[in-house]
Amino acid sequence: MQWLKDRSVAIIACADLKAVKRSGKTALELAGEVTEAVLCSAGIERDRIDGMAATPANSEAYNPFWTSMLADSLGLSLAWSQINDIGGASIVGNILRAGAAVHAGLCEVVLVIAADAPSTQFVARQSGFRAEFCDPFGYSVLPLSFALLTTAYSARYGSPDRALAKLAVTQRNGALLNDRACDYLRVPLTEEDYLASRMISYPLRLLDCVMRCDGANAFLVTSTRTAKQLGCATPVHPIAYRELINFDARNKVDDITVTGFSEVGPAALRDAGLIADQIQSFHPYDDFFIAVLLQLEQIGFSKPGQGVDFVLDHDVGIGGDLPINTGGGQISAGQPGLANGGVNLIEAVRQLRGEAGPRQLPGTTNAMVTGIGVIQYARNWGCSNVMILERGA
Amino acid sequence: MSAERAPIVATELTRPFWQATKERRFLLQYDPTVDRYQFYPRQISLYSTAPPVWREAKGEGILVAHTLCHTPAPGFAELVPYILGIVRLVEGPRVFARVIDANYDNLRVGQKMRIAWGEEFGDGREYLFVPR
Repeated sequence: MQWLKDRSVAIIACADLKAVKRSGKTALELAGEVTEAVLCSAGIERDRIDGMAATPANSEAYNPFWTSMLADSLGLSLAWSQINDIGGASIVGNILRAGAAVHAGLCEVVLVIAADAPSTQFVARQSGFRAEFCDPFGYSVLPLSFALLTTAYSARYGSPDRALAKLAVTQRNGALLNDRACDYLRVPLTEEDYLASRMISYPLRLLDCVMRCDGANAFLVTSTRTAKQLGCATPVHPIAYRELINFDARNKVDDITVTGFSEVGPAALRDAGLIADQIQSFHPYDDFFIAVLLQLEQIGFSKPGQGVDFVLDHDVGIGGDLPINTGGGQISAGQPGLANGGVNLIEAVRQLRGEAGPRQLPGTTNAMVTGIGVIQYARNWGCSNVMILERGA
Repeated sequence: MSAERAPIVATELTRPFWQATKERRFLLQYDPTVDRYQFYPRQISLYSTAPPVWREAKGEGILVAHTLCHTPAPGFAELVPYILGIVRLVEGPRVFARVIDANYDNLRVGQKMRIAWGEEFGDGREYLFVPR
């Protein structure tokens, strides 16, 4: 995608709402609040928005006309709109889709928005193999799928517990400095606390997992030319992007711990002309810490099976040699339903815009953000995507 | 917590599979043009344009992954903690199910397993894994 290499599109503003448990609000109400906030941040009029890329909401999943309802609620008339349902990969994927729509001339300024209130109301239900071949057989909660990945990983490479404990404490330290993180999670954590937390599905502990909450995030994407006309001082450019939906569709890969990141990670780095060592901060999708470890290995920060050593040998905190999820990630900030991936993305954008406050990395110019979506039958997650972002001039 | 298990609900496609489970037979879809099996059942072959046919599995395989679930699905509360596993059948496909007659701490990835049978509920019968 030459238009990414040319830095021809930019994220010109971002906003989120503080993550809250049981807000009592609807996703539409949260969407209204975050849209107002992102327009205020950009200093532009609502009428400039002529495109929208949204995600579904667990709290509204019965509505087949969700984006039209959303546009009407927000008072938007649009030349282009779409919904993206690749789970936690949707929001990062929507930045790319918004950029592609702008590049193709379909619209000029796109609102990339995600809002969900799953801790207030949860009506989503999965059909197909999940309803017929999982639920009747004792499949209860998502963590058990990641527990299965963990035992498969451990059998090959040994227990990842020490590395996961370090990630838990590191990300929690970020959340303590992030006032957008859910207050419930903004308490100090030790590795002992992590190791002693109760088992959800052995070997996965409570503190390996995200906590569901209500929230929203929004981004404005436009062409770099329009960004300049609008007087945007701190554009952030997506410079490389790769996405793989439904990895291993024909069940050819024996090792269930191998994911789509083994393809899209190295490819995105190659597209950007970078090696993993040159990434200045890493914002991996973190519904579970084992997923962070698998991404470190498969994107190429470490060799396969050496993710544990990598985490233990590096400072992955703020100011370290590879800061990871500096705002706490989803695990320590809260997972606002299908506004999930925006938590990792907004932290990367804030770091590059110099808006990360007490968490700010000095002089940082690039970041990598990822997304994960959907669990497939008896293997791994279905969707993996990687975006590399760069601070604009 | 709701005490009812999610029922097995057969579709037109999967009715032969579930009917066979009632007779304690585990069927896989087989694509004769490429000599490959697939599971879960699909309308089309993953491997060619030939219509898949049903073939009975040997019911043997190896353990790929396992977990000790402390957070029960509806209807499984009295079994907590219960073991769930993924087994790769000798025919190739992986299958997810509960593991019984096993001590979690003694289970090892790669060990041999076989299919066992539980109760009928809904349109089929529960299949399980036991170490062999």
